[in-house]
Amino acid sequence: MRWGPAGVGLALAFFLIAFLVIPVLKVILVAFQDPGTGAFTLVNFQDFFNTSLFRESFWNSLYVAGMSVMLASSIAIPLAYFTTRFNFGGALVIQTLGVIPLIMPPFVGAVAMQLLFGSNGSVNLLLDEYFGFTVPFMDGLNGVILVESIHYFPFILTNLAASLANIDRSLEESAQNLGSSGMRLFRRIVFPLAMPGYVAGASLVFLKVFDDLGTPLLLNVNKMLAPQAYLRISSIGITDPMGYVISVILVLFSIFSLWASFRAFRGRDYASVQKGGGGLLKRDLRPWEKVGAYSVIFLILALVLAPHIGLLLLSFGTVWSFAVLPDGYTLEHYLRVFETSSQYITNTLLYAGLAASIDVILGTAIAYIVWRTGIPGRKWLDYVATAGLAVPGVVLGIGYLRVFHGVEVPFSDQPLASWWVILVIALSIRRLPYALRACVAALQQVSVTLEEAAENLGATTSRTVWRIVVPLMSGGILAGFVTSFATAAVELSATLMLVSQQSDAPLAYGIYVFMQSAAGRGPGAALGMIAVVIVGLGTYFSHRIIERGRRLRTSDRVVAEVGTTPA
Amino acid sequence: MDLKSVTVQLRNVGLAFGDNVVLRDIDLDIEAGEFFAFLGPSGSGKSTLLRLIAGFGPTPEGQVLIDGEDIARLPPWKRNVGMVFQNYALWPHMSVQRNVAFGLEERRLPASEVRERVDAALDVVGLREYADRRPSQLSGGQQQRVALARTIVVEPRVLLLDEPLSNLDANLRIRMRSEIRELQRRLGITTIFVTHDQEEANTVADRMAVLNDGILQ
Repeated sequence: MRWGPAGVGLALAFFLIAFLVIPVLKVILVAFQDPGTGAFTLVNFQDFFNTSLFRESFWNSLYVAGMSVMLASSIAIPLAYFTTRFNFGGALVIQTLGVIPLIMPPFVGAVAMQLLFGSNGSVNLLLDEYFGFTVPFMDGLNGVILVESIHYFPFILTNLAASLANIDRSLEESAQNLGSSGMRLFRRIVFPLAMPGYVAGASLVFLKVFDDLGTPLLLNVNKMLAPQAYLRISSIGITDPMGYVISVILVLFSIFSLWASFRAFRGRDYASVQKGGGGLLKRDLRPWEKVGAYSVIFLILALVLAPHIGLLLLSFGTVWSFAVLPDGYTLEHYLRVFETSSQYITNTLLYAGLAASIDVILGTAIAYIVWRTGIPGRKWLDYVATAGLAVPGVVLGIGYLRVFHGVEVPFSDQPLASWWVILVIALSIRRLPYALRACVAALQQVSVTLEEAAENLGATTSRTVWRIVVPLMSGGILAGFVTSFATAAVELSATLMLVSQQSDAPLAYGIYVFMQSAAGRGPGAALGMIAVVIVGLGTYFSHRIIERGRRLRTSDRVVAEVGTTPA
Repeated sequence: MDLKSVTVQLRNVGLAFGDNVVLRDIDLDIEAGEFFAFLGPSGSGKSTLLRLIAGFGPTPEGQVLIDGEDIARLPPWKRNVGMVFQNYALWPHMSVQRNVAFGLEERRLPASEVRERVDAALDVVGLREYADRRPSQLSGGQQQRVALARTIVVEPRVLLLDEPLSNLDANLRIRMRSEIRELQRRLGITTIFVTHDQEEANTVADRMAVLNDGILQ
């Protein structure tokens, strides 16, 4: 037993227990506790379901999440079908379509969407003027559904496209050989085979929409679970049991969605290893099909770009209400943001940078311990870290407020719960699952023999990790860092719960505060554009790093794969 | 390079992966300076036995004596047995020079001595001019020679070669076979060589052990 790695493993376990397991368990516990006596009771849940407001919120959350999956599917499925079924010049366009929505967090574009598609928004004004009717795109729950679907459909698109691309061509060919073709073939053969990918993507979308706090809040839709939890805790305080009941429901549904997502692939991985690549037979488009395909793509492109365009206009617009376009344009909002609110930007860079650093250090350590050592119980590090996916930001925030209430920062008398470092930790815990997967993938590219060769020449485990393993993982680690950074920079749920003063607030909080008032929408949009730029750059660099790593690595893989004859 | 030849002895060595016993009752005496081969088909345990001597895999039963000292429970970095891996295991992010220097740097030798010994080792395998290249820029045969240089530069007590020739084409194999043999004679280092090729074992080895299903034949 090597003691060095075991020590590191214990430290990791402590971190995860202190900042993930205990807060979540505490929240669940409080939900089942009588607020007065502390005894176990179901009375909180009874109160919850007896209150019509909460029943309505529960139903609304289910409805919105479900409908978002439907709408996202109706955008993603045609696109996935186009790329995998046809020799399509627009394949690159579709790939780009899959990325653009993800660089703008849904709550950022929500207000812009309101201005474009709201009952007095640009589109409806035009419709009313020329055709005499309006469409309630953004009324109530519809607004949330629309914004979320546009943002999250890439999850379904990429998973489904990957699934379709992996289908063994011979499965389709044998069906054709037996007389099947067209839609019937698609329904009986292709779609069932692509189901795992679809279910994985769809359950992820459901989970994210169900848990989302920022978008409903910004659209003034409060009768949903996450906003209700936030409002109860922030107005009544951390003793109110309803916030905890809601948290339990959120966590339960998240776990269920994740379980469904993982289950979708169990025993049904239809991926094939095929000469010349897998995937369906591609054919060319007939002219009328081309027109149809391109018009659908154009429509989707317009929808996908709507929040970005809207936000851009809003950030430069002077006054924009009850009009198709802003009345005039100005740089004032950007100037104001840089002059008076630059702390939002600097805080964000600091918090996201720290959180991403923590993520890659933890991710590398966990990856190495799980995959390269024999320490008993090490798999649990992976499981617990990944379980963070099932914890909505709201719940983590409530958990921290409750657990660290009354605890003070060592060596000072500042309450721990309002110290900005706690927010950084929350951000890193929430992003850790993604960073961990990136580090695991990077580690698996490094052949074990490279480490053995170093140990053979006298290097201990820690020297080997430092001199050999980490440098060879560097591409994946860097990509993980950048992705963690970009997503932590715009996280809102845990942020709203944990930010105690404006001076400590990051971008997402600043956007939220500005967007509350009509006058603040301009600067809010300016901040939003800055956030989009940060995330966009992050995503771009992450892709570049991964691509460069992939090119360099083909030579490594030759070295590593040469000769694995068992003896 | 001045290397003292040592004996290698295996006493009652056994190894299991969980419930799966892969090596049983291995007793072996290898003389100092000998070129010894482990021969056997795929799955016979010959590579496992070699890796056991290097310290990779679960802790074995029995004794592994090098120069009379039992190393069976030492971690790999303390054994000072040099291993050349089947896939050469050259680090792609380091040049040939830095690959070969690695073991010396781990022993905290002064930079001038490291430089000197690396040059000498590269001279022995005839690759001095390639010192600044990356492994990916070398041919299979050259990579194998770098792997050799990297191992002999630290002057190990025993040299372990895990099917070093199986990834080379036929002509190169025959040439490298005799080069390795000659090198071993010159250095006088006790060497264990794993192969599944009987002709190869017959040509290069002084003596050999045949393994099948984890048992010495």
